[in-house]
Amino acid sequence: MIDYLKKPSPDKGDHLYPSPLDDLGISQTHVEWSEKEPRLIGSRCTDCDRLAFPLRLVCFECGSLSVEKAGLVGLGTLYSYTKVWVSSTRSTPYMIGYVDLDDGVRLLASIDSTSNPYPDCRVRLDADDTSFWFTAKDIRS
Amino acid sequence: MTSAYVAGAAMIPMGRHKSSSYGGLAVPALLGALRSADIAINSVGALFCGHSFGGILTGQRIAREIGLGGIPVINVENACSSGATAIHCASRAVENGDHDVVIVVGVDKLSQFGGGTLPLISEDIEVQQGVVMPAIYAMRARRYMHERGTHLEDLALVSVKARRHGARNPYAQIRSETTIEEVLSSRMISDPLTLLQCCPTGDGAAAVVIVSEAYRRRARHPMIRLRASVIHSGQVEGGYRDMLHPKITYDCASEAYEKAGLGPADLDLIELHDAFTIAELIYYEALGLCEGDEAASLLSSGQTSFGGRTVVNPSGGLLAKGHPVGATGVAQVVEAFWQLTNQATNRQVEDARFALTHVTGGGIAGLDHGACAIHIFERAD
Repeated sequence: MIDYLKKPSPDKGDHLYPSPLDDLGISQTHVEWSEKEPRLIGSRCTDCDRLAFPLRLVCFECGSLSVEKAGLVGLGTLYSYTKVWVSSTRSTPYMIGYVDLDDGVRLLASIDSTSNPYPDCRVRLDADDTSFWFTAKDIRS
Repeated sequence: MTSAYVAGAAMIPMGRHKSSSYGGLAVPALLGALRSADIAINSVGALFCGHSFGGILTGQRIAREIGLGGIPVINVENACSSGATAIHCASRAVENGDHDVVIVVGVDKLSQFGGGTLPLISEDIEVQQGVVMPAIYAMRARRYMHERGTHLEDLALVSVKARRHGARNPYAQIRSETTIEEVLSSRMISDPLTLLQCCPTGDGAAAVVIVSEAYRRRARHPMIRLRASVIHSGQVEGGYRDMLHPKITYDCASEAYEKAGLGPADLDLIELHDAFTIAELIYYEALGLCEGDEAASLLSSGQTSFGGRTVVNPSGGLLAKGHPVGATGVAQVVEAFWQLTNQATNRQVEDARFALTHVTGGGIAGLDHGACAIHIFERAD
């Protein structure tokens, strides 16, 4: 069974209304720092334990609204990647890839192409003030 | 419940038609389909319009051009499956007895965006990270090559076949053949996919007339019977997912085969969703034409081209014929109609009795594909 969102409105008495989710507002920052190590800001559902990135208000596994913020460790394996050469919105070429984080979440992220990634290589999260990306960790022999 | 039949079909050649509006693109297809079905405009009980980029009331903007109104006009959007979804809705309406005659139009004008990749939803996190449709397929291709040991030449061969077929099709956007070398040396779009491994950007419209069993008994000309019409949507997945195993197509195809009471070996031709070369290899597997690992060999064997056991994309497919998004699913059914009624001229698949059409796509974050629509048709003697 799925809960519906309840937010009492002070000026309307005790009556409850479905209220729009501020999902665009809450997911503006994706990285937080913990002892100089970047972590991704995701969420965990306290009902079914599902992790997600980016931070969500509703669990897409079970539909629960009991979702709390969770830091995701920035280590994973590169499932696949590509260098994009055609774009009307950003300068090219740029590389993106699907990173399978060790804790089971997959995300699409910028990949540092100068780190010579290859399929299934290990990658590590890196970030600055404005963005985050992943860098290949090991050298293929 | 009654059966649904396709009684008529028409399309315009796909290409860049900048000085045609959505109505300008669709009306000739609509009138052509009515003429091919020998049906008057005022016999049409409903109009279903599949499109992704036409804006509000696209169906009505087309219908009003020929004075068609009052009847239900329903606009359908399902990304690359829009046209086929419109056919699904139309055929259900006929099967349920709502109407005897309905018309379906699929249309889109991609030249309105200039060139380049299609605009995606800016609210989507992956779009913000720079994803574009070719990039998704490119990542799929890289993973496929990594897991299957397939080579770039195997991918390029998909385009070579598509262009060879398209060269026979006056409705195709690209009507010249090509070579593996030309495909691989064309401009890089998203590596490893080069320009000639991607379907061209264009405009187009296609229309079919769908009628009931009762209507068919009163008519004289050849029709094709709908044996299955199945729609599935993608299931969100936040964890690891196998991009080489599009569950949506596997599931949709199984259900369609079961509903139709036949299997892949029964099919004489298939029009499948080859938006990028890698897609054709993946869908050979997903539609049950071969086991995993065998797709590249199946293609190079020639068994999926003219003279082979199941001709895949006799029209040239999306790669050569084109992919004006909403038009594609209907254009595939137009081809199936021509093939199964022996009107496909120099593209005719010999003694074609059963055809399958397949569209899928629309990548949004967490879903490899938004929708999939599969139809199976039989020649109605």
